[in-house]
Amino acid sequence: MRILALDTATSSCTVAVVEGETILAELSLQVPRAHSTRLMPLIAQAIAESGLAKTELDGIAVGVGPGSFTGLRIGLATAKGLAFGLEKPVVGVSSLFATAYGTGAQIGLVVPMFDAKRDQVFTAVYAAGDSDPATWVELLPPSHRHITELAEELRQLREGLRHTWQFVTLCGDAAPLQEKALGLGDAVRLAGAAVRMPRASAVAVIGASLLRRGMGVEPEALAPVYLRKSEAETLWESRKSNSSR
Amino acid sequence: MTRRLGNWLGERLRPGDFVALIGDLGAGKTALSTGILTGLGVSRTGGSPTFTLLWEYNGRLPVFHWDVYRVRSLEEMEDLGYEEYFFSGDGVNLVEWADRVEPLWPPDILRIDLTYGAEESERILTFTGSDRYAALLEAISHADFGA
Repeated sequence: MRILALDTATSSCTVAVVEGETILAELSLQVPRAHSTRLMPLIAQAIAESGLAKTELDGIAVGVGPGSFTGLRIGLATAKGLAFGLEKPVVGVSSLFATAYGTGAQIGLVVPMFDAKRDQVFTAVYAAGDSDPATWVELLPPSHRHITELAEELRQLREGLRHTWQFVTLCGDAAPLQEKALGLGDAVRLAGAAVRMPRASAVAVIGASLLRRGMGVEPEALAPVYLRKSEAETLWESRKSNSSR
Repeated sequence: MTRRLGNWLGERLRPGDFVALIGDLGAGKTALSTGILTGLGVSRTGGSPTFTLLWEYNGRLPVFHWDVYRVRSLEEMEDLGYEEYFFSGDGVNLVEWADRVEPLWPPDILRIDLTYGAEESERILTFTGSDRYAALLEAISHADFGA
């Protein structure tokens, strides 16, 4: 199966063309707030370097977040446009799962964390599987959490696990910032720099797995995972009631 | 003079600074902003007329120039992903009508209130800021921008 994949949920702008388990081309940039100008040229280059014609693609896989609202809109609009124009199926892949799977961890818990600012993260918890994404188990679905909430949830999750599974691999841009705050001591490992951020090759492999299971959709059915938070609204209400005293 | 002050200020802003401009229509926010942008090395101002909530510039630093006058709810700011800008760390946020989105402000801000003076052309600018801006506030109080 030949897949074009992309992910723009974080500051990582990443594109890949993958055939089966062969990554024919993968291009990743770290450029904050520049996805709108970088994404399409990267796609064109990745397809050209892959040696495939775009009509030979079997589908398009895109990271649907959660993450940067602006980044997700750019990524999804691009994926939808390409799927529509090429008349290929498109499949949404969790950007958090793709990052976790992309670390290559084979045992223990894998916790991807994307920086949502002010000590908040977009996060999820997975039990590592093997090279087949379907063997990975989601223990906490993609969520928006304050770091102290996540620390408590992780503590509870780990209590019920045998000790080899209590090890935690952290990945995502918030991982180096929040590693200490999780209070996991020796049980935590930070994913190496090469596999810490979202990679389109991982999105492609997961996307192919989903497409094989018939989870491709029409472009108009694809939606981002924003995980909207109500915090600002709550704050707004509380400030208004304070100021009206 | 407002513009000259803005220019002086823009030359001194640092990555991660957040400048909140607060004042009624005609109080001089635009003149001050224009000066600040010039001081930040932004040569071309004024963006797409269809998208006027936020202009992004690359001056000597990334600059996020907001006019949130038309923002109807904080949800609208969330939909825009304001946090990527307000908390970017590498750029300068310059926010006109900042009082309209006050619940979203980061903790460290430089606040400039613009009000009318007694004379037709007189404007009073009041500067307040967190510790981060202490040196800047001190310098402003001693600077002479000409009458």
